[in-house]
Amino acid sequence: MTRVLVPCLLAALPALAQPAGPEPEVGDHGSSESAGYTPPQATQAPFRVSGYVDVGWAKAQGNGSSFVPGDTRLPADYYVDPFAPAVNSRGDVASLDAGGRFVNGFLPYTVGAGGKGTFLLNVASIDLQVSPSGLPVLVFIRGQALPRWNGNGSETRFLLQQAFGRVSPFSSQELSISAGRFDSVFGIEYLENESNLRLGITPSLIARYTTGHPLGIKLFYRFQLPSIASAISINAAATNHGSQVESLQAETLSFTGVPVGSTRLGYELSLLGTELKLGVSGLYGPRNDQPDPGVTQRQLGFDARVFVGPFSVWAEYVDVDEEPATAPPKPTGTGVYTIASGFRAHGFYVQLAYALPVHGRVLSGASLYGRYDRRKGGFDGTPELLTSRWTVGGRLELWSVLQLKAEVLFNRENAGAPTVDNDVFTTSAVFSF
Amino acid sequence: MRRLAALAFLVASCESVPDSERARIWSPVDLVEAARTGQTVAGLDAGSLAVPGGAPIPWLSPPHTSSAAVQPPGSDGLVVVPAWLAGDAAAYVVAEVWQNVPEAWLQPWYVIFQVPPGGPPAVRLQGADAVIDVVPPSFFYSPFWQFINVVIPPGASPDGYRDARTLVDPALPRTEGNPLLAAVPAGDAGLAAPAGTAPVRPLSGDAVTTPRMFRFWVRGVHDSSLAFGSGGFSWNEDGRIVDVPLYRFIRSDGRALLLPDVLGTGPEGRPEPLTFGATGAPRSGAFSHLVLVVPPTSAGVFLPAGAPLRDAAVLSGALQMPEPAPEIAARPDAPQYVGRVALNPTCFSDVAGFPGSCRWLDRQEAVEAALLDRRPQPVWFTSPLVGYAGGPVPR
Repeated sequence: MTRVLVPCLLAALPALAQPAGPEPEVGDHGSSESAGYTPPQATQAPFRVSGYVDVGWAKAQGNGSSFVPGDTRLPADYYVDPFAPAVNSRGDVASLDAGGRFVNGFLPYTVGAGGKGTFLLNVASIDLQVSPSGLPVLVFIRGQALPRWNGNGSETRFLLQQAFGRVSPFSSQELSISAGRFDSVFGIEYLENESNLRLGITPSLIARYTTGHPLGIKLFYRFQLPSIASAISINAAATNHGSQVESLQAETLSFTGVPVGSTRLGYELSLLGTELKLGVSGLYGPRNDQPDPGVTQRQLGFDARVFVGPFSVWAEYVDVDEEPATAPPKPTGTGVYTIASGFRAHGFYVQLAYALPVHGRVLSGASLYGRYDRRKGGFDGTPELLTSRWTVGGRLELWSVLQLKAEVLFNRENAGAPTVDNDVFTTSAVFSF
Repeated sequence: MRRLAALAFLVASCESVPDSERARIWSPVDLVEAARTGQTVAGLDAGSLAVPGGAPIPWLSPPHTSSAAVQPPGSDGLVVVPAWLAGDAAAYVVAEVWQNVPEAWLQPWYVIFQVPPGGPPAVRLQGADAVIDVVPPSFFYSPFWQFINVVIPPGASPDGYRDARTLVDPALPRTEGNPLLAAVPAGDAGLAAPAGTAPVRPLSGDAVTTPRMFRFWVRGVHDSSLAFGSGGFSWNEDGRIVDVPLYRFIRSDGRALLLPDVLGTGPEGRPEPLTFGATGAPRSGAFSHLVLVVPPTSAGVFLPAGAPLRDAAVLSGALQMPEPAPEIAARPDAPQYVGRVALNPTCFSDVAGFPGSCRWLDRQEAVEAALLDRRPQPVWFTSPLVGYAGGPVPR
């Protein structure tokens, strides 16, 4: 119980030992089975500050984007996967240079590096947590600074990545209700949203559909079944936009006036040296990149995690179906575009990790990992693109506060999309406090 | 699950955008089908845009004529609509209707070239159909294309290039060619005309161009388009097609006056000099935004004595209809003025000054300068010109 309810703000430290073993339950982003920050009130300081700095060096092939020079089909972002050449844990890509061609908002954020190798200050993140002593209430704010080159100059975007309050009305029950901006409840990859929690560096090809930070309310409940070493949990939310990343659907406002419902039902089995976690997720509601409440999005997902000794396997599948808008425009986190097209996609990833047996004071952990992603998706009337990616990498943990990671992304255009050089080598040093 | 069910109910019970405002593009096939079933398209009578076999042809039937001209059974036709473009008689057809989709984009139309065994230069491969990569129902489908001439390797079979993915390879040499207006899918529709006669511009009887059928591949599937040549439109640097206003005269109560429309030469409020493409076809008019306009009741329409349209009730009280002087009605170019609206209809009697003394509403700048009541509609047309200045538009 206590382990389950370790507060998020301690996440940085236990996460250093996370990679291949059973992951620690780390608050709101620490576990889909967790309600978020439910620290044991009596043992927590009422006010806590923590955070991390993520500094990286990355280089992508080509011009750093997935766009092919000379390809004049429009919108340019409907014919390639702009999310493929990711360079950091936020999923920012090396470049979105479409050669001046029209795009329609199927875009991630970018660091604007092009094909040049560059140091990057991926994020400076600070968490503030207030948990009044003796009260079942917690308030949490995560502020982040993102220095970027925007094509015309340097700018630093400040972001309230999370800001929510949470009430846990029953001390005897794992039940909590949160309101504000928090991690998605869909699937499991959101557990690794932050650099200091992620085993590797870059998110999967399907992370765009599941790892957003919605704004709304959510409820978590977990029921323990000690006789069979199991637990069942449900995490449900009603939010402005669902679970997609902000660059695809903005969370700030509901453009339709109707919330999006999402939920995950989880099962956990904990045996000596082995842990199994299974989940099924669903999402339904209006698309929040258009104004008509009758235009819906639907997602269905399955996830599984297995931890056996030093090995861990994560796997997740998602299926997405979005109806075409009935009217312009298409507002997203990156701008306002012409009109939202009908869209379907499905994909999965499987990640295998191995934790090396090192537990020293300096070298406190080491892991090797590999992941295979596959995604098939397309818009109405344009080609369905099948892309895949192999990711291999390793990480070291020093003094339990510094993570050094390096990984290579081999992006492949299997069908529909033109072949393009967009593999990525990226590194990350995450300093936590 | 109960929460999801409740949300589903909430979504279902919310008021969605009505069909009359829903973003949609009607193809030539859709227009013919709508006309056949008596439907409206974007608030317009589909029968005014396309005519199924056996039905009277608008503009060639009452109230514009004394007897009906009928589309031959078994064939469907797009209605040839008379218009004015930069002061000249013109004619267009509505090949597609765009409701609440205000932008169209230039898309590539890949044409396969190859260096022959005898050596350069590369030549177009005979029998190898073009390749495209966007079709309805995409909102970014566009009938406005640009030829991209791609040179495939010597000896390579064009059968291996039926998917645009294979043709965007940067290693393949390419050049940009002429533009093309081609609606997809084509269906079987041609231009509306009675049996045994060629399509003409109504009111003046001028000959018009007929479209051709172009075959193409889209992701390995063979299909056909209704091609109207290379003229009628222009585009911005980013590939956005320039839309021009299509002014349609109406009464103040909204009823159409059944007169020729006025096609613009530039964006609304910004008329530009009419330019011409390499074939001599005007480069305006083919992507138009429907704007309803109410002329002042003091304006008059040029209609010869005995013209059946004079009896149309919809014109009564909306416009003056003075009979032209006999000398003017007898002029050989008089048919070029039938249906044209002038702000000073007394000029129809000015034998010496006609037509120069008339303040015609036959060009964009004239309409925009004279009319205060303009009512833009959320409707755009793919409106290729088929006739201009008394003859067919060159392909």
